Amino acid sequence: MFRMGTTATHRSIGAIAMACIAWSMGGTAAAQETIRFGAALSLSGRLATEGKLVREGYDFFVKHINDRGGIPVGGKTYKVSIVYYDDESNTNTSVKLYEKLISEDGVKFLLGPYGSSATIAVSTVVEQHKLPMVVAHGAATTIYNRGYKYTFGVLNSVDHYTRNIVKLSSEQTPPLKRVALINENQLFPQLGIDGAAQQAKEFGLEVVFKEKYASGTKDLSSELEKMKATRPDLVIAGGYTDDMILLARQIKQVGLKPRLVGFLLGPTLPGFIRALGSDAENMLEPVQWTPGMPWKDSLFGWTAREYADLFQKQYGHAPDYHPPQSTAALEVYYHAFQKAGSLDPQKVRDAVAATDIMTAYGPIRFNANGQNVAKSMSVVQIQNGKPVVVYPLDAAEAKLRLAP
Amino acid sequence: MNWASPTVRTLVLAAALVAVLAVLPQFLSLYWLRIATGALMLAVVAQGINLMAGMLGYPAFGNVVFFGIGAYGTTISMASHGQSLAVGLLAGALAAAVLALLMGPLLLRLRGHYFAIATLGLNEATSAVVANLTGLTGGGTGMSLPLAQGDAAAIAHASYFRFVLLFAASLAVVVALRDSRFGLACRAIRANEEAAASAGVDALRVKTATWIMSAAMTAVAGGLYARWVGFIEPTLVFDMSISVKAFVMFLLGGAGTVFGPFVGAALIETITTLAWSHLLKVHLLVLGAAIMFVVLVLPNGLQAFVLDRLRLMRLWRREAS
Amino acid sequence: MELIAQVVLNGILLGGLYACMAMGFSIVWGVMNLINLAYGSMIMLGAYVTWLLATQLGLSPLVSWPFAGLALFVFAYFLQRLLINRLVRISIFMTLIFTFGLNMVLINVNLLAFSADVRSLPQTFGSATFSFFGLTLPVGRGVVFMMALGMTLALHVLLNHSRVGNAIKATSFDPLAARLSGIDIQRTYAITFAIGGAIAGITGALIATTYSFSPVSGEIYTMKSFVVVILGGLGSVPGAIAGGMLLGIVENLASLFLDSGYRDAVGFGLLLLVLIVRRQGLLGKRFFAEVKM
Repeated sequence: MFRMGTTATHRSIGAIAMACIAWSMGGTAAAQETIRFGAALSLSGRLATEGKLVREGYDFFVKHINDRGGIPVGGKTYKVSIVYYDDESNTNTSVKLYEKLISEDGVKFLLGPYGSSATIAVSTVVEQHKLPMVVAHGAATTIYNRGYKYTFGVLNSVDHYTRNIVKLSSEQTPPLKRVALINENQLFPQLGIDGAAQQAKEFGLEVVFKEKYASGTKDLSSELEKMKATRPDLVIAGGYTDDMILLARQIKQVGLKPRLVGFLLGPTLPGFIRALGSDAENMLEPVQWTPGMPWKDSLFGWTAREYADLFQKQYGHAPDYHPPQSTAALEVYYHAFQKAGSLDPQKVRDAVAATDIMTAYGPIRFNANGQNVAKSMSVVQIQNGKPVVVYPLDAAEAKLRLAP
Repeated sequence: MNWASPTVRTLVLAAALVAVLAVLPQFLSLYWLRIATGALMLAVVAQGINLMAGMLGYPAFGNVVFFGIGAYGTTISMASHGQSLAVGLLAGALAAAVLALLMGPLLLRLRGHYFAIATLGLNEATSAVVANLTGLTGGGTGMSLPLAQGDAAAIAHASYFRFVLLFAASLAVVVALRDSRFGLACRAIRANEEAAASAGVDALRVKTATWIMSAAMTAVAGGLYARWVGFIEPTLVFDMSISVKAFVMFLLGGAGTVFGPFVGAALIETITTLAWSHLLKVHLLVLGAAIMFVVLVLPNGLQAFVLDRLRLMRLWRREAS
Repeated sequence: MELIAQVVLNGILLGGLYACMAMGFSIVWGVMNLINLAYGSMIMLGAYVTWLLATQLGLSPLVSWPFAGLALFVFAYFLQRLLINRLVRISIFMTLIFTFGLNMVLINVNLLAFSADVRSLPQTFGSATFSFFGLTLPVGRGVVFMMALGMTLALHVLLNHSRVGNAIKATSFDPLAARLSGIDIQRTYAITFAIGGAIAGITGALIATTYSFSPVSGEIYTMKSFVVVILGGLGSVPGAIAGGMLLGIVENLASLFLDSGYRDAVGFGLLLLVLIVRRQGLLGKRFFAEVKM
């Protein structure tokens, strides 16, 4: 359990040992060598539902790339594996486990954890070690605007989430005028709803209500009563799954009748429609991805729809945006390895920074902060018990429905 | 120098422990160094609880409130006002001390689990207020500190040694208290508060002073934590499980002893860490069961358990001869 | 004005649930001097029993709540007999730590058995509401409120007008005297803990009818139980009702007049205030508030 020697020497001893093992395996070694990625995910704790979806997306890539033989880098082909740990949805644990991935397990290429808080804390450790980390599930803007050089996110940051919902609302005839905002007082929901307030100003909507509630609040009916008194046309709410189910339920119970209700996340997660039944009708969610998107993967050749079908066959449930987002993070690495032609973390980091690819998840190109600026969000609505794309219009599966 | 005096003996032991801690990083990977840093941090929080619960008999269950105040005080000074770490730690400690000074006279009149619950309520209320002072604390979005310069190993070692220093200081405080008139007053209060008061001890004053020391100590740990991890949010630094963990460590090591909190912290952190790596799906279960087991088998802490066994063995040997 | 009335009504509805929930916590603390940090997880167990009965057998929670209560009664009885019994004579702080460990075990067991997914039951009454004097009363929450209140009153009757109740009260006042007058202390403790468990189970069933839940959502219920018990007074049934209502109403008024983020600050602030001003709680009897170290 305790290692002798300083970290530097123990790491180089480790490298030599690895080389010896590879050498001793002789002829078969080339086919057996593996690139190991590392991630600590919320496999238990309050974010475990999401954590499981994240892992399925990572595993999906591993299965399919290994079925194709692996990743070719500089004339050799490597199998892919991922070292996982469970961070219990606890940021402190997450930080510890990334240190373990790097300094105990010798992982050189990191995948992001689930959630903004964990990502922001973990990225500090990864940055100190000067290793690249491709983030798939950290949307907070504050992750990217701290001048870090090794953190890249394939997803749209949270300040973009509600943009298209607000835009859509302003384009209705007559346009929706009054917007009410409510969120859990946490990093991701707060930034998302602050973004919505900005966009409301931009598109000429009036913010008539804006409040936050404490994590773990079990009853929001009074907040909603207060909101009801402001007669909103549009309600946008931010928080995690069980709060959003509660909120959707209580919106109906207090008799709040806005024309549109949108969430930062919720409606497309498995369980939301099951829990709410017909009460979920017409609810909106901005999504990073849907199977209806017109993207075609440049690596695997599948379209977004084909990805979804394959995933469904493999896991027995349809993917929401979490799995393809995970898969996309690994595809970024795939292309970076190709471009770098090497497994040197610094070279791979530079190649990641220069990413410009198309995946089934969408186009990916990073700005200087490491944010993906090539892609925008679409909007889905629950219609007849199913999520359908209503925006962007060229990928829309149905027309937006307003409550009377 | 009187080598037989308990103060000197304890101080020698403490110096030896700190010396061991100082060379320890030579033998640890960065991962285990991080575990060790976390264990030292919790040992300091446990030492803060030891002052209150061990020496005074007041179970400050929600002492983590000072940890959070310290973390925020330090971060606000450093990130918003560009101060150095030293100034930040001082600001955090000061803020915590003021809170203890204000709340002490009100809450230290409660005893037993009423005091425990009052401190818990204090923590939850403070956490909620901090989460809502968006202008000052960033609210639920938390605060970040700028990245420390240097390579990973150097940063990790610096964080570790800061906690070693703090831990050494906390040991010194506890030893000094234990062997002073003040410590005597504390023990008198623990044994019988009414009797102590009638013997001329200003109980409320002694209790408040002890709480202030405990608060400052815990706050500096919180400040160092903020510098170490670089990001804080209310749910992270006002987390009751920090308190509870520290409480378990304090009880496991042995209430009211100088080294108990350290022994408890080292044991619990090692067990937790090993449980993680090997028992992914059931590590909570194992840890919970271990805690229950400790309570059932070692209700008086490890130190008492070992001493009892030793005494038994000696008795047994005497019988045999 | 109407808005305030509506918010107070919401508070009362929530308060009924708080009262019922806190009863089980209160009686164990008051009688056995045991603070059960695993209480919230026991509530979750009750919710999962209800969920199982609903998904496997199609039973509505309105029918299945006695089963959740019974399951937790048995569970708690044996827990007390086999483990907690050994702790009654050691310090209160060790029992705190013990139940903290127990809480971890129960959370992990729930995780293994039911996964971390957020569960919720189809709403028996959907979003049906009942209106009077311009106020809206969601039917589902109204029913839960009535049941919670009924449960609390039933417990009150049990404690004051039955042999078991007398034994429990006698034990809590003076264990030694109770033993001398022929009461089996161990058995009384086990029954007390089991009653606490049954109430947790029933509360879990009621929660499952209205709210969604997952293995980790128990913690918040433990915290709220603390506040209610301190507000109302330890070991007192009317106290639990008063404390529950008060907390429900104050929380809701706080979110009306302040930013709703301050809900918890006000709740816990009230807890501190009551502790400082009137330690035995609003309706608590002085005796229960005495420290038993």
